[in-house]
Amino acid sequence: MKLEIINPSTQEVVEIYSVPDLSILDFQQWRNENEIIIHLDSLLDKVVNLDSKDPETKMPTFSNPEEVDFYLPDPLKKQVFSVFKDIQTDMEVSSEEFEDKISRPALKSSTILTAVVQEILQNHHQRTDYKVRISDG
Amino acid sequence: MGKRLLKLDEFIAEYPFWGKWEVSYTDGTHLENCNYIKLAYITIDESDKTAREYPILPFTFAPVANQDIKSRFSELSSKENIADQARKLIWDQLADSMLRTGLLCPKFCLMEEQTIELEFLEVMRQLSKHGYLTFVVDTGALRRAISSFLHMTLRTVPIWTVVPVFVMTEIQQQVYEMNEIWKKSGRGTNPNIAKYRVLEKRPQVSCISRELSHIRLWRPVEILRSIPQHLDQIKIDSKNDRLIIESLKDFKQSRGIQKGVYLLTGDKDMASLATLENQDSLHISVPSMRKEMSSVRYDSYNKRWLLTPVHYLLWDLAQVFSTIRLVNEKLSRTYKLVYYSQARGGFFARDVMEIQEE
Repeated sequence: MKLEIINPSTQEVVEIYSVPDLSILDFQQWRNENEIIIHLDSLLDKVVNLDSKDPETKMPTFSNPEEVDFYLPDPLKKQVFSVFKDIQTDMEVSSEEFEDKISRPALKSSTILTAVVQEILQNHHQRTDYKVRISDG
Repeated sequence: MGKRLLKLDEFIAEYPFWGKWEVSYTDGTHLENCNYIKLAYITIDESDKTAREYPILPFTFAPVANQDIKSRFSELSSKENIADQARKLIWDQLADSMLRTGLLCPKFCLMEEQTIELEFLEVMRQLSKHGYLTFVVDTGALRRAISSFLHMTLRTVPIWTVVPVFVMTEIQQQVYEMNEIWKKSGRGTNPNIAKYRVLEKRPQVSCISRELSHIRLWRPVEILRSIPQHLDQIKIDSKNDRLIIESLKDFKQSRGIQKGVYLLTGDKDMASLATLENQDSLHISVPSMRKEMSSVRYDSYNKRWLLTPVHYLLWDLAQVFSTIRLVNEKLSRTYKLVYYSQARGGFFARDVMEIQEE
């Protein structure tokens, strides 16, 4: 998914947020759209009301991001992995494989999109007249 | 009831969490140990199997309505102003916890050479233009763990944290006052509801000492000992603010550095004053809490996903609120995270907690 921030007076794209882990097909209301344009000031309201459940299973759709970084100071993160390794000694996977695996938890599509939107609002909060063009381009 | 002393890394690695948890607190300085104030609900929408496979999972944090906190205080104290002030103070402390643990992103205002930049991504881009950065920090910036945030965000820029000695004396004063309150409460046996303001003091000690310990393990921290002589003459309430600004100027002059040195402060007036005196500053403030906050954040500067471990948030809350109780009715499980315990042995700089399991 690509979210382009557009200045309506010049039609210039001022910033692009690329989210390869996400598709507009993940959201029921957008399934028949090629692109969606939303005003920045109503973006969050629109996004939190999206239905991101699989139409057949009625279960939320998930995405597996390449990797997540844990919000911990670096030294603490190293200590945590070290304790994890000590605990996991009886597991068949190596400590590196385990570390790699736990850094890739599945995240709900709705959680991912909301996080991106909140970041966008933070980066352009003074520009409520701006628009956002959302597509899979 | 099982008790165990543990460090944060052990807590994260050894205690998987899933399901819905009610979070409440009690504090021996101002609440009887049977009285709890409900703070929030934490939901980890996963199974026990997933929680064991992925010990750090996404969660949501939903603070209780701020009116509920007020009502609970009203039940415990007949003084209406206490309930109202306590409600506000607790709400502010929760927001600070969210900020320290990454559920909220700080709002920045970069003030340098007649320009002001308020948008996060642009602030990060401007700061990263420097080959290295020096932040002269005040108590508010340290308490909100902004140095850690900047270390985590500006990963390729070496950052030097400078703490004016006056900031350390402020912390020393808070330690003294906290100890006095704790002693007067008979070490938790004789609480006084009017002492709820300890919730404001405790993070000035516990969270700052954790922040300093973390940065020290990672990047340089310098305690700046210079004391400008002429300031002995000044008799104003905001003397510490003035001393911090003068420390910043002294630092730049004595090291011969002009660029990339910022006052990092949570005080708008101090940031403005520094700018008027040609000193660059980075002001930080806390955004409003939402009804529900996610532990997943997108960091557009580094183009990566950030995930806060629920343990980190709980640890932080215990350091502010003294004893945090977690109840999962469905699993019939209760944990208590206790800040005042033998674990710490009276040393506030020791980042250890007691966990009790029922």
